[in-house]
Amino acid sequence: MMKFLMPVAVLLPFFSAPLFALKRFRSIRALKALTYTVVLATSAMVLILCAAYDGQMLKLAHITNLLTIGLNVDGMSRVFGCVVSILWPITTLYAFDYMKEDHKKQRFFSFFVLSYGAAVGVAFAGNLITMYLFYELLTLATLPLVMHKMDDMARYAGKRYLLYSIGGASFGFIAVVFTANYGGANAAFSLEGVLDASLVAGHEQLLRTVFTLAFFGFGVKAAIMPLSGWLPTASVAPTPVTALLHAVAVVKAGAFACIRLTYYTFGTELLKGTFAQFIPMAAALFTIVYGSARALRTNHLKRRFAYSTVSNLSYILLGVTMMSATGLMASAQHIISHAFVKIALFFCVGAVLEKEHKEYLDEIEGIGRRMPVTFACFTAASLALIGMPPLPIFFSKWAIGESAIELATGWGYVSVAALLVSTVLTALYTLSIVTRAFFPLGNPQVAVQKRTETRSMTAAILLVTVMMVLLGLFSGTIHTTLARWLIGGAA
Amino acid sequence: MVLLLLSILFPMCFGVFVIGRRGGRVGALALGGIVISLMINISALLFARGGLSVYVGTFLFALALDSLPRMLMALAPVLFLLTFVFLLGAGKNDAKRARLFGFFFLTLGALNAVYASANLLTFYMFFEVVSLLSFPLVLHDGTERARRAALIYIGFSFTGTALVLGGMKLAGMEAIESFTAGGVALSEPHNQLAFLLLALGFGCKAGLYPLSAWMVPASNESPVSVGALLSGVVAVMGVLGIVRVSYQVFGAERLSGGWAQTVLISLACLTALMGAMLAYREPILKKRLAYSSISQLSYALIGFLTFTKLGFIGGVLQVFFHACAKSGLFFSAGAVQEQTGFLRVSEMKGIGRDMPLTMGCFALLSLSIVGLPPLGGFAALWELSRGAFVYGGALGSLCVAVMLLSALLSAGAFLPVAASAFFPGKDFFACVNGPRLVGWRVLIPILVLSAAVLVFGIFPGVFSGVGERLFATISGGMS
Repeated sequence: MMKFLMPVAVLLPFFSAPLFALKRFRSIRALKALTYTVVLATSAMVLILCAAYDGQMLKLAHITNLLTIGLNVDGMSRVFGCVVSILWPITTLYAFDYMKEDHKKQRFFSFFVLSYGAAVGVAFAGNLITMYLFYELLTLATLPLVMHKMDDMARYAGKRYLLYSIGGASFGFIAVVFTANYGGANAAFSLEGVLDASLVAGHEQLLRTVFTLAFFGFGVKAAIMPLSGWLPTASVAPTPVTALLHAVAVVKAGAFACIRLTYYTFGTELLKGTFAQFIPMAAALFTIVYGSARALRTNHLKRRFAYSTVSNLSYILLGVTMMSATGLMASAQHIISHAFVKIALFFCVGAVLEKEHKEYLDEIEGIGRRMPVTFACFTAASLALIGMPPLPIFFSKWAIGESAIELATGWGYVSVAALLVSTVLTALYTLSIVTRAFFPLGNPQVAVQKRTETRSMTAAILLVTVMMVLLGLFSGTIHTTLARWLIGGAA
Repeated sequence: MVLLLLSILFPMCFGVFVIGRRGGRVGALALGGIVISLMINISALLFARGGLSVYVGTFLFALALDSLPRMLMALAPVLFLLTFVFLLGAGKNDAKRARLFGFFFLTLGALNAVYASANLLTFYMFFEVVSLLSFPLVLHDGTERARRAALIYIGFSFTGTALVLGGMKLAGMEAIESFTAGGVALSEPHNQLAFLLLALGFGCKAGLYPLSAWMVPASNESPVSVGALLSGVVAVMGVLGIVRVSYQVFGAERLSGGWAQTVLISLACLTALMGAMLAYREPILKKRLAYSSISQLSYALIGFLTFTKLGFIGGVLQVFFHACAKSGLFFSAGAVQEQTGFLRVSEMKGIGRDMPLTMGCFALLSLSIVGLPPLGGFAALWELSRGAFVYGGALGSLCVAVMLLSALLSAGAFLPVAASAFFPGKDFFACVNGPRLVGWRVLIPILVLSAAVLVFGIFPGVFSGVGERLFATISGGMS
């Protein structure tokens, strides 16, 4: 029974998409009802599966005798699945308010739902070829969302996104081909890797090279330098897209794919201590500092947080390249904590954009008075992003640092140093916004200013902020749960 | 425990309440609030038993009062009280007073939490909170320059806390679990480096070179009340951090003679000398005071870092007397600025005739900074030098030399100001007997602080006794 819930959860959004496309909706209410039904039903199924599935791969189809399409829910799927299924409904709430005056709502929400299916597919893919398939689908499903406005900027961003993503995935495809030949692209993911040791013997260098290429290939979605150019450009998309897809679903699918590639396909045994570990690590380290520094220099608010995402995704990738159990745990923890924090920040910035039509840093002087709840949440999320205890990113950053120190080489200390430099830059690029919002230059006007917040947008913002705080307070529980899911208990 | 929580939460809640107030009665309200807060603090010191600890995962957050911060917890609200009295006299035309008072209260609440933190992790967390809550104080004036200074302040603060974080990671989980007298034996291999990072990080707030550059712009661009607070309380919190880390985390006995100690003492010497020299050639009075703070706080750091009993006592005395003298000097500078609008030292000729009491106290307080008997600064300097001699070696002698040289430079920086205020010279004939712009209330804190420096300078036994007992409890049996 559980087994068949899995394909239903993945395919429900896909099959409901034609409904969106074909039916002409008289009222916004019908569109809302349909979207909520599909999203909530999918989320419910995903959560049930995450809680209760036993970990048997379900084979759906065979493409030639080499490749199998199969679904499975293992520990890592649970991490990604839970994050996506909790945040998607909240973003839906936010998106309906945000898109209120948009004329192409129907198209927007059909692709919005479609990408949900693709994201769940990536999470639940049982082997590399299946993941590759859904990964490409995710690119295609989110492209119309990026280009939604259809002006020159949006089209340019879309083209760029497509070029980077498809190009990256083709590097990923090399890994698919090689794993098929050296063990099994159709073998279910397992923590030791799926390569056949007898076939690998003698070809280690080749496979490491392939791994490095594929890491950068999948790393495109996770915006690793020098392949991060698409993400800041893509912030022209409507904010729900930027918040959910470009801070959570799409970019974390990239990080997720890197985890799958490193830990579940090639296995850390083959890679650890070689150039296949250090080249990606160096890139991640560079990206951490570069992203934060660019964020500080960028005055466009959404782009600023896009760069911040670039930096934070590389925290995750840094954890991945530690190639140890603690590294895996740390990156999973950062996937979760960064998701909630960054979505809160983007929601706030989006609210400013939609309700006040302000996009740049110097336009928001004193805005905190008109949007007090929004900016209170923004401040909380900023502090979380900097890494104040007891908010969640402190714990995940600590875990990444700890796994880096465990490495006990110069790389470990450089990693810690990079994290710390980025922390300082983060403090500057978030708090300079808070400063302008709450402490405008000169004497603030005494006249009461009208509030510009709206209810459902603020509700969504509050909801994610509260969840973020709880996530920090219960980080112990999360840590033990992750340990149970990912490495079988011992933490 | 309830009292302890109350000492943190009451100022915080009161602060939020005050920020929202409008109208002229804010000053009286704030005064009432700070008196209540002071009483809560004192009763917490007398009656609070036990503490509060919460595990978040494997991370322990704990609040409990131990002996070290007791003096600070009693004295910090007194300094706030004096600051508020000063603000009743000066800064009446400030349209954003409510905000200023409110953030003072918030900072006080966070400071109490810092004092009551029972392990390094909690200390670190509230340390950051203090930085964040004092940030609006620095940018209070709302000018482009103030904002710039505030961003410098927060940037340095976070650089400091990043170093602390790095040090905590290196020291490992045992180090952040609890403050123990004599320190804990740590299993991690990088104790010296970890200690250095932690001390540099906390030293950022205490004005220790190389992270001291925030102090001057932050004190100069903010209201004087904030400058007094930064030098008198916030910087002392950095000193407290270093003492906590060295005596109660790593253990003075284990650190004694290590390379990290040598590096830190050398840095403190460098800071003391540089601060004094920069103060000497600085034309703007508030900046001059801030440079001098950097220098003076490094004396205290030298004392604590020698890990000797005498040095420790000297450090305690220095922290106390410097806080009194420097806040008093800031208040005097503020009174002068409010009355005459003068900022530069060169403009202040002859103002002693107009404001005799203020400038008289200014002279007295500067003498304490210089370290002349029988004022407080002398008692501190005396014990510090003895501590440095006990520490011994070339570096010990260097410390003494640096302190004496800096004292001379301080004399060169401040005494001429006082002298030319009263004796402007023959070619001076401006008469500025205009209307009094500054209220008589500003004199109260200046007089109180001068009296403290004088009285406790003659009888420093109160504080050196405190220092002795503290050393005995937290050093784990060093002599």
